[in-house]
Amino acid sequence: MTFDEFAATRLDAVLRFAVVLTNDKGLAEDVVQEVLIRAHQRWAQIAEMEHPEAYVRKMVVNEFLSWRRKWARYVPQAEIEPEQRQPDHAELQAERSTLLAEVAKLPRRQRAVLVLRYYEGLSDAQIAEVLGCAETTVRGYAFRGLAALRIELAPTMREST
Amino acid sequence: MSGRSEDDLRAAFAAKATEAPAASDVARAVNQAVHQGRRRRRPAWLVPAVTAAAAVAVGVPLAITLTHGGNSSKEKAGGPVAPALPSAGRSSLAAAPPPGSARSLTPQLPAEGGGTVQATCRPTEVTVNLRRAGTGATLTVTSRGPVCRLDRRPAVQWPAGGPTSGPATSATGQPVPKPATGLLASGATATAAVRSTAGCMLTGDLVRVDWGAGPVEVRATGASAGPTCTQVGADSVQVGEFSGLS
Repeated sequence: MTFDEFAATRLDAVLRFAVVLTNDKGLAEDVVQEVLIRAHQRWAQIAEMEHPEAYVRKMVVNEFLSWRRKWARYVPQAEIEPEQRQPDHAELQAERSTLLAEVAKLPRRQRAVLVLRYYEGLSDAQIAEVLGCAETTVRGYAFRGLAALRIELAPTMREST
Repeated sequence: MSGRSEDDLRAAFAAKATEAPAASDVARAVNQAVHQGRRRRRPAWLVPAVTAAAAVAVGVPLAITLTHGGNSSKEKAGGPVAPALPSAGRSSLAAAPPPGSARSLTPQLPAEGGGTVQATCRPTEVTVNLRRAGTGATLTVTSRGPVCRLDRRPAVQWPAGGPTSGPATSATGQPVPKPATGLLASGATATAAVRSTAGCMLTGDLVRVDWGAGPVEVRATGASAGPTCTQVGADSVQVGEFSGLS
């Protein structure tokens, strides 16, 4: 697969993943651009891999995780764009927006684990490979992330879990 | 309150994914950056410039050392000759900047007056962001390369294709003198405020910015707020000077 073929067929999916991961359309665009520029420079190596897209996705995660260090002023904030809400699904949209805003408050590695697990559908082993850590660490991130989301809306849930 | 499930999280992520930007826009930006990057990878002036800078960095302290080699230790520690030199160059050759330092790698071009001048920041050497703030935005240019030069007041065309505000034309469309330029240090960020003089929100995500290296298209990010401008003239957009330049 050439770089152009990859961009033509898989860039949409990479951008969607980046938007969910960053919770910020502009930041997602910046992160993916940075990653693709770097990926282009060594595409010959990436193309030989079994799953080039998985590698690019890993690059996106790493870029996102290091974004604060490199570009502190562009730390994404939870942005809820009013025009995205649909009046006929206001309640559902509000709940989703609230949930996404709370996800955005989680530490980045916890967010990355939740997105990789619940958006990309990766196993803990695959997430561990992406993040370069142990599976038990992944499960720890996921547990704490899910617990934090539940605690903020339902304090009594923590006692029952 | 306890009704949240993992499926709710999946649904929220799936909904968020629909907000992804157009792949064609990103692909175009990447292609542009990649092709510009190829051209700038080995600019013709870079090797001679680095060689000359390295020669100066090594040669000047060496010449000083040889010229004043017989001087007393008092002079080496900061005697009559030393004050004219930077502290790193006073004592010996070993104190010269390392080959990888910004000083020795700063790209310089010949100036009309016979000296040297830093090149204008190329679009591939900087990261440009335009973040909406109120009815205007904050323009930031961050250097990813060596020290380079920016116009102190950039020209902004918002939306791209609309009238230009900034140094290129005045409110009446008459050319005005090119403003002074400033130096953007390696890794530094210059910030300029862009605001709407009408107090309304500037519309259009694609904005053209020119800091002296030719127009560059930037996508405005961040949430928009307030009433939108119905008419945009050359005087509708006001651009401040970059801060963070030396």
